[in-house]
Amino acid sequence: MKPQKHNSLSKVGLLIVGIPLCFQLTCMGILGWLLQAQMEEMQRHYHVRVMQENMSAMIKSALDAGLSIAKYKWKGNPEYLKQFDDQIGGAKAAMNALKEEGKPNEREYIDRMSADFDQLVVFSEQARNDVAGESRLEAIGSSIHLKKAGGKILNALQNDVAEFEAELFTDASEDPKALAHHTMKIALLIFGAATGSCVMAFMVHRTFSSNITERLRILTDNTFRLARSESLHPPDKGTDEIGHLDRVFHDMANALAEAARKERAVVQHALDVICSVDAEGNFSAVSPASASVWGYAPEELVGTRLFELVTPDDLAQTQLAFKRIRDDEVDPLPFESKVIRKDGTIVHILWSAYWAPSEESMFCVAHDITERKLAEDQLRASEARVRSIFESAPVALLVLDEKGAVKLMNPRAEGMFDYRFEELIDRHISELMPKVPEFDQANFDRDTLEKNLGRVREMEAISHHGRCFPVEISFDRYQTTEGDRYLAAVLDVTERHEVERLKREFVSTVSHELRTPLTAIRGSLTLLAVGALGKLGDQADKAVKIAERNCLRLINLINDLLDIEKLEAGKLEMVFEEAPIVPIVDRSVESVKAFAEQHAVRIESETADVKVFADSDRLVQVLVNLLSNAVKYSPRDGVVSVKLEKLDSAVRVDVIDYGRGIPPEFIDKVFERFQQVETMDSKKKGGTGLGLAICRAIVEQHQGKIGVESQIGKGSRFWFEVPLAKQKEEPPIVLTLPTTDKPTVINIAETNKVAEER
Amino acid sequence: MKVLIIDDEDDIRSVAALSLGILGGVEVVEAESGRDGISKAASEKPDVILLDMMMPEMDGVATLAALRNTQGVESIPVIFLTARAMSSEVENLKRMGAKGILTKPFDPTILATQVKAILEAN
Repeated sequence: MKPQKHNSLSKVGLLIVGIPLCFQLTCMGILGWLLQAQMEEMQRHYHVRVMQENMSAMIKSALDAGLSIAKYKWKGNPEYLKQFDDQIGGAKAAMNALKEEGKPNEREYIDRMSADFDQLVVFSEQARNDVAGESRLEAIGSSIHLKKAGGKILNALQNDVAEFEAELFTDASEDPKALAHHTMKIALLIFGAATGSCVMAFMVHRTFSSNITERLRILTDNTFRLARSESLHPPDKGTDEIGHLDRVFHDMANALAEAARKERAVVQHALDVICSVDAEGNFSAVSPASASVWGYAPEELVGTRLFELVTPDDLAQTQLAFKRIRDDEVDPLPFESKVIRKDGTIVHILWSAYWAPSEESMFCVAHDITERKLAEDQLRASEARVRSIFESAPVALLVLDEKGAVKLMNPRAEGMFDYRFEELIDRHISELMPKVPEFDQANFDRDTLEKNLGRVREMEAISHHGRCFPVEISFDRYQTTEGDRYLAAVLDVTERHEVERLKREFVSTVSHELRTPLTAIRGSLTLLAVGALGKLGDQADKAVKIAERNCLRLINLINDLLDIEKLEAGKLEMVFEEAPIVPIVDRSVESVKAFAEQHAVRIESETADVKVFADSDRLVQVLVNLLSNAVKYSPRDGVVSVKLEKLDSAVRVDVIDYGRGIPPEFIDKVFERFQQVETMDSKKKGGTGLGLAICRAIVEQHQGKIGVESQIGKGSRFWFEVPLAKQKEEPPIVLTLPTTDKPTVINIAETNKVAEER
Repeated sequence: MKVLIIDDEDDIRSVAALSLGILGGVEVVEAESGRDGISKAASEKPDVILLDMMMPEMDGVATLAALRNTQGVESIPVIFLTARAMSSEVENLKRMGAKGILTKPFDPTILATQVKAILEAN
């Protein structure tokens, strides 16, 4: 099909209106021109007739005047003279009319005519006067003269008139039928114009019909075809508005088709079941997802009742929900119900349904929320657990927001602070701890809480009724939808403080009350044993030495018990300072020198130019312990070595013996309390079983490490690492914690005081 | 050298006196209380005073303060002999004028040596 090109409808309209209009205007123009010509022709004919009439009247009056003179001559009746005067007057009037009507181009003829007429008038009036005065005879005589002379002038005048008439007709028209010809032309033109208009009207109709009406009909038909889902007519090729509209309509149809295709794809591939249910509640269409969600293929469901799938306990509420949707005909809220799968298992379904009154059908989307329900159940259970823990926790728990406002508290917190939750909600933590400067509300921000994360701090709190009490508080952060929240765990440590105070008193008492008599016993026994009070007999000497040795064991046990208790409670006072390692080693070696000599063991030590950041006396205590152990388990004439090694940030000290070694199953236990390789060791070798536990506690308080490597029959290597001193001088750090019995200033090198174990 | 031992425990005083006297060859004067110690210090003019910390009525700290305020004895060196010596207290005691601290139970064989070492160090 040959493509049609269309201008815009406005252009077509312009042509439809404009072409006939131009034709008609042209015809009217020609008609006007013809009418104008006709008018002019008629005016010329009128002019010629007027001129002819005047000239005829003039000639006739002149002739009649001459005849009146003649009649007067013959009859002498003066009436003829009067007629003469009238006729001459008429001739003059005609002449004047000629002059008035005459056109400029006729002036020449009129002037000539006028001159001859004036001559004739003068002659005629002279003749009248002559005739009036003459006798009849004279009059007869002169009339001949008059006739001759007047005839000449009259002839001249008639000649003038004849010439003028000839000129007039020449000027008016060559064709005497010109007027009729013109009239014919006008008639033809009117007929032609009428015919042309009819032709054009027909053409306009044809054009309108083919260009617009037919195309609009196709366009209209397309809308019906689209509604019936039939294929559309081919697109209109025109470029005008109808063409554009048709293209838009085709685009829209394509878009609808695409949307429908997508919709089908969505329905076919949707994970949710999409279905329609008729007014009786039977499935009329079901998407393939029913196979995976409900276990039924779509064709198994079509025609069956939807409510047969619903569990009996949910049936009533499901029916009610569907009924409400149907009756209310409003966009309903989704609702849940349980559905029995083909395999008998239950799935939780979230229904979204819409009732289409025009189709008498319910369109439903069934979303499987089983997993969500399970997760919700688990979440609820978890929340219940957490709530239960929160409610029953023996520790006061406060939930704060980022600004420190209390958002939640457990019953223990209510009891501890004497507030009900309703009274404290949104109030600031500083109201509970007014004596903690950093909790001051004016300067409180998120950093205040962040800085306390992961730390346990002791603070003073105040209850609603003004009771001040010490608390231990730690913070943890968690996220919520409302922002970060901080969980403050608050422990009332009033009782603990009291216990600690009692413990300090007990330690002090034990220290004093046990040591005072032991000092006297030990002093006396030693003086006896060394013979300061006179020489004893052999039996007495042996008994005194047994008593002294066991007294020392008792003293060591008391010291160790006090030390380990304080160390493990973190209450052992330590003075950290920079100290060279070599004197520490030397002092330790010196302390066990006598003991080593007793066991015929030699101690070798290295030197190293390094400083540690440590409590020297406590390090000596550690080394003495390790060395005395090494000596104790070394064979006679054996060697114990002390090796020093500088690491990146620490000093490693190794104490090596070549004794019997430690069985592997004991390696992990040697640093625990009262763990000795053999239960008989304490009896055989002496020792409290606390020494290595004390060593570990001391090293750990130095932020160091301690360990052992051993091989049965080959010996053991005990080692520890303590931090190197920093380059910059720092003042000693004093941990101001309760009592210690640490020897200070002068180390009382009790050569027999050894913590012996394993 | 003359040493004044101020201790409310007779046995401790006796052991210390034996240790210092027999093994150390030192002349020993004993006082059973702080007040007694102050008067003995004034009368005996010892070279050094060994002062117990925990005593009834007037403890070691009070006795030291009194000694420091008693004309004629204020410059006698004082060494504490105590069953409880906390590190934080050591510094305080030293600031108050103690020359050193020896802990109980002491080794009677080296007690005199330790006393002399402290005096020499000061």
